[in-house]
Amino acid sequence: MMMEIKNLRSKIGDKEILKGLNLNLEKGKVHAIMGPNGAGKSTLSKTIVGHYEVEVTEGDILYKGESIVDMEPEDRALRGIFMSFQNPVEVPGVTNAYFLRTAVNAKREFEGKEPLNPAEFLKKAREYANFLGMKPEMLNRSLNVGFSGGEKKRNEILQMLMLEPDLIILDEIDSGLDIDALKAVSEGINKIKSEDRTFLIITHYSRILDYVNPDYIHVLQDGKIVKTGDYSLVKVLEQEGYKAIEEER
Amino acid sequence: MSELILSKTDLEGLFAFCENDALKAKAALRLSKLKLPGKKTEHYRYFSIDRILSKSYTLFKPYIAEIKESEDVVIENGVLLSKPKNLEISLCDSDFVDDEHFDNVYYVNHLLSKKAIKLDIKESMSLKIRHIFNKENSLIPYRIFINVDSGVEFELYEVFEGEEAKESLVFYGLDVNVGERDRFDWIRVQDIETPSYSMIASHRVFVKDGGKFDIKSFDIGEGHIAHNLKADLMRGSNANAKHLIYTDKNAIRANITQLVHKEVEVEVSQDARHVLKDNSTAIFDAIVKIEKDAKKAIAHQNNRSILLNDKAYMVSKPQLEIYTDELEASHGSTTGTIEEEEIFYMRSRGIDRKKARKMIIFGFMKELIDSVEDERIKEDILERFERIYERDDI
Ligand SMILES: Nc1ncnc2c1ncn2[C@@H]1O[C@H](COP(=O)(O)OP(=O)(O)OP(=O)(O)O)[C@@H](O)[C@H]1O
Ligand SMILES: [Mg+2]
Repeated sequence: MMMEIKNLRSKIGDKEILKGLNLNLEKGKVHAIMGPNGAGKSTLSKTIVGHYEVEVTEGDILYKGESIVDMEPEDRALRGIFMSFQNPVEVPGVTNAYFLRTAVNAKREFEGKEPLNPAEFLKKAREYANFLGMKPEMLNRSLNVGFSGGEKKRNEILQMLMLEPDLIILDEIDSGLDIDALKAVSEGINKIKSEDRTFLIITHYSRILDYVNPDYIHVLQDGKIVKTGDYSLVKVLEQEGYKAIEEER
Repeated sequence: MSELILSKTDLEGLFAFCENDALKAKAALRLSKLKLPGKKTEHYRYFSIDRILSKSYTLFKPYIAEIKESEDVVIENGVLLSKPKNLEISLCDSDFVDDEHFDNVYYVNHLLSKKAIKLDIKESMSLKIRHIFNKENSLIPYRIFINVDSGVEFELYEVFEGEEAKESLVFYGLDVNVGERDRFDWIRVQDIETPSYSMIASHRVFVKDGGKFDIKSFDIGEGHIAHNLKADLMRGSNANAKHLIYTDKNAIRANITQLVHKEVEVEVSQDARHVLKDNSTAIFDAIVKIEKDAKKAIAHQNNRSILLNDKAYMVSKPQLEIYTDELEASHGSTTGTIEEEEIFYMRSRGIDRKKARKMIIFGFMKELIDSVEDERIKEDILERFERIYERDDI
């Protein structure tokens, strides 16, 4: 098992958002989460990566068998957890390349590897940028500053490709993407799918799921996983909405 | 040897050091209004003026040195030591005085400076001035007068070295005349690692019709340093001012500016960024004044500050003083800490908090450094900031 989330309760401020959530993420599988606005999907991903706004009040998260709820966010990242942000923040004056190289080398250091030198790094980064249909000058610009919505999302995928994480959480990576961008992002995902890697894809649409073939679909409602099924569940949801599941319950 | 305690000196006392009667008359007139500098001087309210002026200094007597040839202009304790071959430099009476400067030290500085170093810029060039101070417990007054001919582009890069000038006080300043359709690019870096000299500088730039005046100042580190600047901007001219200040320990660093729209169609933009560490204070007291006849004015002012410590103190006073009705203007000032969301973003990629913080702060400063067009100067400035990056725990 890549991750086991057990009876997880977490809150932001005084508001409880995850209300006893259980979810297992299997190694080598693609999981998708769907659910209405405000259900707690982003909060779940923030809880997994240790966002400062979220406080875990009950339950546990095991990653590769080890509890991570008390771990610093950077330590979770170094151990292979990656989340793409629904709204990536802009960092003026820090170039995308410098940021990415620092991140890549932090991970290499953690793994006891030699750091990549700037030339090696650039070669790899340019290759992936090109693969994602990003202009090479995006690497020299300040991190996310003035990037369009689609460019920000592609940049998240670029980071994912460079960092080669084991558990990848993509929070609405497909929102606001044009057809080409969606294709590029999906290809980025498919490129690094492997038996050792797990994906958790949060989305409102079937489009991206058609590209990446999820193994499981989970429905998150009111802070809990209320239903798990295979891909056919997406079609049901699209036709009948989340109401149907609520009534079923 | 003449010992001088400025806080105990009156106008007559200052006049004793000045042989130029016309200058005395002018300064007397203006100083009777502004009064001699002290803690009652409004723009020095947050500056350590009292402490600085109440010390006893030996007044350094400039001499005329044999001028050597060098790539840069080298001025040691106000004495011109060397200069590039093709540059015209002479000594002139220090009587090129603006009648309406807001700063009283401007006049005191003129009175105490025997001769001004005069640069005549007749062709486009880039020049570096190295200011060196190496006398202890001294008062070092001098001024530089620069005349830029019409149609010329002049880039001036100033740096300061003064580790040995312990407990000294430097008065200096530029009086610059920028001719019609000229361009004057002035880049100043003052990097002080350990407390040594204090400085009150007082500058005046006069920009004729269609001239362009661009100043970028970089203040780094320790020391009690104030730079006063008044710029008068004539028809169709523009001024672009950028200030980056990184202060630490017990520094007090001040930029006190007055950019004046004198005539129509003047454009001014001023951006400051401050990063304050330890117990340091930074002062940004900046007036953009738009006179009655200066219609079709454009004026933008902004200051952003990051306090790294709750003992650091930022005095931010960007002000628009408007006497006309046809204009486009904006100003703003924010003081804060670093956005937690930015730090988190980096941590979520495996970069630890300390490193993330550092990267964000230097990114904030680098944006302003990146506006320096001259690559060699930019590299030099970046290097100075990188030294802090390596050295300081922020
Ligand atoms: N910083 C915050 N302060 C207060 N409430 C918050 C904060 N962040 C999230 N919430 C609340 O938590 C609930 C869950 O939000 P979350 O972002 O997890 O929803 P979501 O399922 O990702 O929704 P969407 O599909 O719209 O992205 C919402 O009611 C939201 O308003
Ligand atoms: Mg969300």
